[in-house]
Amino acid sequence: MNIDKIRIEFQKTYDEYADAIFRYCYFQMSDREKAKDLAQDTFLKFWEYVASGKQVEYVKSFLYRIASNTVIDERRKKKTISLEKITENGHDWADEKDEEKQKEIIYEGRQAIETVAKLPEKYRDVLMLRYVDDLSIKEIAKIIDEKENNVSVRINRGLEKLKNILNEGKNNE
Amino acid sequence: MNNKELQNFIDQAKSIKMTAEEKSLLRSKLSSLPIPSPLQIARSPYLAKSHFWTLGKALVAACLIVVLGGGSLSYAAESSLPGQLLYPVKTKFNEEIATVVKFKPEDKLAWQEKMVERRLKEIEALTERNKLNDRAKIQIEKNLEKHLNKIRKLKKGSNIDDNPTIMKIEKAKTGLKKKENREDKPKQKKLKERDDQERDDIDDLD
Repeated sequence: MNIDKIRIEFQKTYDEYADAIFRYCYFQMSDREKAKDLAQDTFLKFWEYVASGKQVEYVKSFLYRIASNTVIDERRKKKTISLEKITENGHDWADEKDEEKQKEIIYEGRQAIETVAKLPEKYRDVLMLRYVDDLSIKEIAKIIDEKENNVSVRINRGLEKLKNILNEGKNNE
Repeated sequence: MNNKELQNFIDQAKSIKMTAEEKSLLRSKLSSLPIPSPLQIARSPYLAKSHFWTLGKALVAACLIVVLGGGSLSYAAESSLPGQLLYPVKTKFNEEIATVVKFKPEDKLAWQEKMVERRLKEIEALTERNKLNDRAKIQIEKNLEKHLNKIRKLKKGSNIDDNPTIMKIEKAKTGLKKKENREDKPKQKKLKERDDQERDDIDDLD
């Protein structure tokens, strides 16, 4: 495949998965700006791979795998302040952006981010990959490099924790 | 908690995405990515987790630099100066790539300021070597103007007249102009003498 065709395919892949990869990174880091950077890094790495002529059989899993490793690398570099901590320290969400429209889009799903931030890290990716990104257990196992059985157990335990968090939220209302 | 609540949570989670503006900005950045050079060995992301790979990559890079005596073309271009053959590689390739991968406005601004510092060092180096010729001056002025415009754009809405980098750029541009004038004086003197001579010749004809 010549480079122009690879570029077109790359752009199509970007259009299809940009939001999903961004969302995945956002749920892992609870930091919108960081998530944008990590999504960019993911696609940069993907470009380096495909532009060197290598074939990718399952693009979706491959992208999530890159994103997962990019998140792990980022966590190693610096432990991001959790969203919980930001809220505790009095971070005012409304101050972040000025424009109303921007605010609406950015804060849509904020509650979900806050909920996921309360989950231990090891449950976040499996739950999000399974229920938000609709990936199979087999695909998730490949992405996070775990056995399928372990993934299933983690999903079940994570789901219980998620339900507890949602229940707590409901009781506090 | 019932399944409806879980479903609500999932729906809300699924609604999270980049703004159309963010998505299109990132798309345009990614669309202009260069083709990796053969020296950049593509690696499988499956290996990215391993510390061994990071160490291995550093070793390979170090070996390549040693073996190739200075590394690739872009590496060599990093030390080039205006007016030299590799200078466009430094400004139009190395620096452009670094610009493309800066995402946050503050990072973009810091990089523009760093590039201004690089231009100033180039002027110093060329002046020391007495090689600040017209071609070099044009290249530097053009680049300084480019950085100035980008900084103004990034600082849009705020007063930047007393910004140290802007002041440095203006000072450098004035310095370059003064140098031009000093160099041009002998030329201008010669031209004036020639004009005077021509005028005298015309007067003689009358």
